[in-house]
Amino acid sequence: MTTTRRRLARIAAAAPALAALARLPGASAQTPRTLAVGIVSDPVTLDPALMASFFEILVQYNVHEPLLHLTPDLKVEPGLASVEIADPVTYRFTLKPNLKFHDGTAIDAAAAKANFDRMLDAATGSPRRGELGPVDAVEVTGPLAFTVKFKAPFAPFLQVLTNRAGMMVSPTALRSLGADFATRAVGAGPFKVASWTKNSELVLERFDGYWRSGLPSVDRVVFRPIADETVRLANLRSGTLQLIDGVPPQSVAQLGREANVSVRQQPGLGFNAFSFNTTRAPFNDARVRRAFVAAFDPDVVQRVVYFNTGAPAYGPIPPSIGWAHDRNFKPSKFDREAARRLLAEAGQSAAVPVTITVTNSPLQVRIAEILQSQANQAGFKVEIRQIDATSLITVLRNRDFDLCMSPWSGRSDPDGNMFNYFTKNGPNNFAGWQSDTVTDLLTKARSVVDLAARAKLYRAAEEAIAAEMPMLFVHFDATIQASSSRLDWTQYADGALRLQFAKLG
Amino acid sequence: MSRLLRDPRTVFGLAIVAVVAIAALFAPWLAPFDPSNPDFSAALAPPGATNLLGGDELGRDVLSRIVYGARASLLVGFLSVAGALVLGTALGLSAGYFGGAVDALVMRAMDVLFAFPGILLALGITAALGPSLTNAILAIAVVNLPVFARLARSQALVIRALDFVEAKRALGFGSLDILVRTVLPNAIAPIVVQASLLFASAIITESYLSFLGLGVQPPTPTWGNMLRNAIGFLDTASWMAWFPGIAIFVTVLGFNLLGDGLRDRLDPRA
Repeated sequence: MTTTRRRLARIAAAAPALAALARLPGASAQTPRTLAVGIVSDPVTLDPALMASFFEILVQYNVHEPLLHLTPDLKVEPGLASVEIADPVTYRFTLKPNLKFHDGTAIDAAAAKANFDRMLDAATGSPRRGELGPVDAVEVTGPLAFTVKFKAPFAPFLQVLTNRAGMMVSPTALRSLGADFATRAVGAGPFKVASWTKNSELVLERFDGYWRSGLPSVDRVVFRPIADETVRLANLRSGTLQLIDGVPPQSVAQLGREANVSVRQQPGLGFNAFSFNTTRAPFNDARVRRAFVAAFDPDVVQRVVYFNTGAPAYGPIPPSIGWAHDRNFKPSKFDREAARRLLAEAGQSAAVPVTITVTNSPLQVRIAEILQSQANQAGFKVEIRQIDATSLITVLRNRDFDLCMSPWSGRSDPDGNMFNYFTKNGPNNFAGWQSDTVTDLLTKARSVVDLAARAKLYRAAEEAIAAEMPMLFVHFDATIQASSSRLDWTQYADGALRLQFAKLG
Repeated sequence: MSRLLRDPRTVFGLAIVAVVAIAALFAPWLAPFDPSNPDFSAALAPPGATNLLGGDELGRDVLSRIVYGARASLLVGFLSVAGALVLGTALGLSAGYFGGAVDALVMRAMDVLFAFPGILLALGITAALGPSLTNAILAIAVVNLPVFARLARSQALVIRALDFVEAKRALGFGSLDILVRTVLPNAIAPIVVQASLLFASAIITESYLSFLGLGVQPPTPTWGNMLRNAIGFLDTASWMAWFPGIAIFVTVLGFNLLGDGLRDRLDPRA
């Protein structure tokens, strides 16, 4: 029964691929080099000012080009523009000459200012507004030169510009396309949008005016959303796809033995963690939270769920952010007796009933079952509640949970992993945890430019968080992706695909 | 009964059902391990001396989980079919016996339920009410309700025109009395046969729901959620899928064979 279902699923997944092949124009003379990519889920929008989903990260750098480029080892390089830091609150940008958007509109200082103004306008409702920090004004100082001025120093700024906030789109297309811009985005990236059939395929075509001369080397990229990891793998093995995201940890060893596919992994930027609801019993008592954390053995999850990919997590800063990560930071220890003592101190005599909320992702359910088994042995009585992925954000925002998964895809700067989660009014402070100390530390860390001084502040914040445990940190996931061995490509820590550098052999 | 047992297929079906029922009833004594308690050192252990059918992704014993899983399957199968049978038969008999407005009202409501594909309706109900054992039972009962209602109505239509019913009515017996004591006993045989056949499909529907995470919640094992756990490990630990799959297959086969046998014996039209 299972095998039949799997076969059917394979056929179902392959059918649109066949249809797409039949439609290819170049079948007669010169076959265009097409790269088919299996992704977990469709992007929600192609407008970088409005992107808010993790899944857009796979597509975004192929359609859009940020002002600054992030190297695989998280260094900032010039992209569409180079930057000079005049003083801690003044950044001078110079755009490369003679660049055009996909629609032929010139990429000049006025276009850049229009982009910033749009993201900073409250009416746009852009998540970029918060990411850009305390920007005071963007001034055009020449045809290709502009200056961004801040009200206060904002250290993560350049890292932020290598991501969505730095992506420039054509102001002409914004005006002419209106609401359609979300599906037919016009940017300056290596590929332009050819067509998008939601939940079926997003087709991109090579942009001849891309600023890196000679790139990209593939002619088209087709993104196919395939939710089922088994089906994605099957399509990679059959050659229907040449690159897939979201390879499950348990498949890494097996894939490594197969000749025509190659699997790649590296430490990611995010964390997998659960938020305690600190606004209601029983987790409003820090001792009960610490008891739950002490009852949990992260090494079991590392081995049984993650098959030793990635690393156990004890805080929000992953090893990939080397300058801020502290290898020796291990504030909690698996200790069942300590957990029981803490519960007794908190005045809990009977088993403490709590519910763990997870989406129906098999991996998260597996973690929940391990947490359940371990916490039950230390004096909790755990129930597991499964919800569908789309209701997760509502459950978290309404604090309709005791302990709920709240993983983060991660940012290249620790600010992006902490400010939203641990400041008092942070949009991801699902725990409802109110700490003046941590809010002050994280706010201060934004305004310090010196890396060593910032690292100190982030470590102090991590210590303060560990003392109160508003979240249960579980794991730093590795970014695991696999490709056909014919494909030459570069993997980035955040899982983003920059396919201008990909070559099909 | 003895004629029923002369057919080897029926005997085979009955034997399977008996084995599953015994597994469900005596699970705590039959299962070698606690089905919900993970032994992380046995995670993905292949079938062997300790774990006869292997260990699952958290090191729980697959055999023990299959034995306990029989409980969920039989419980959901039995309660959902029984619920649908009782309510559906009552509605259908009344509709057929009284006719007119009662008939129109009840049967149009049943048509509405019938208009949805069964699995879709069950999915919708569990998604709306939240995933749990009770809601899975309720959902499957609702899906099967119109089947019994239609069958009972057609039986009642035939029976109410028969002479002995007319006679009882002429003697002044009340409608309820006639329905329960005369119509029901004469209509029940095909309904029971239908129930035995639906039992199998109820077990499959429960597996679907659990497979999709909408049935019984972890760590309680059901064959459906065992299959769901197995899909990520088809390459590396195929036993996790094979054995619950076989359990579903064999159990459904057993109930279908038993149902066929009952139909041959009880349903005069077959």
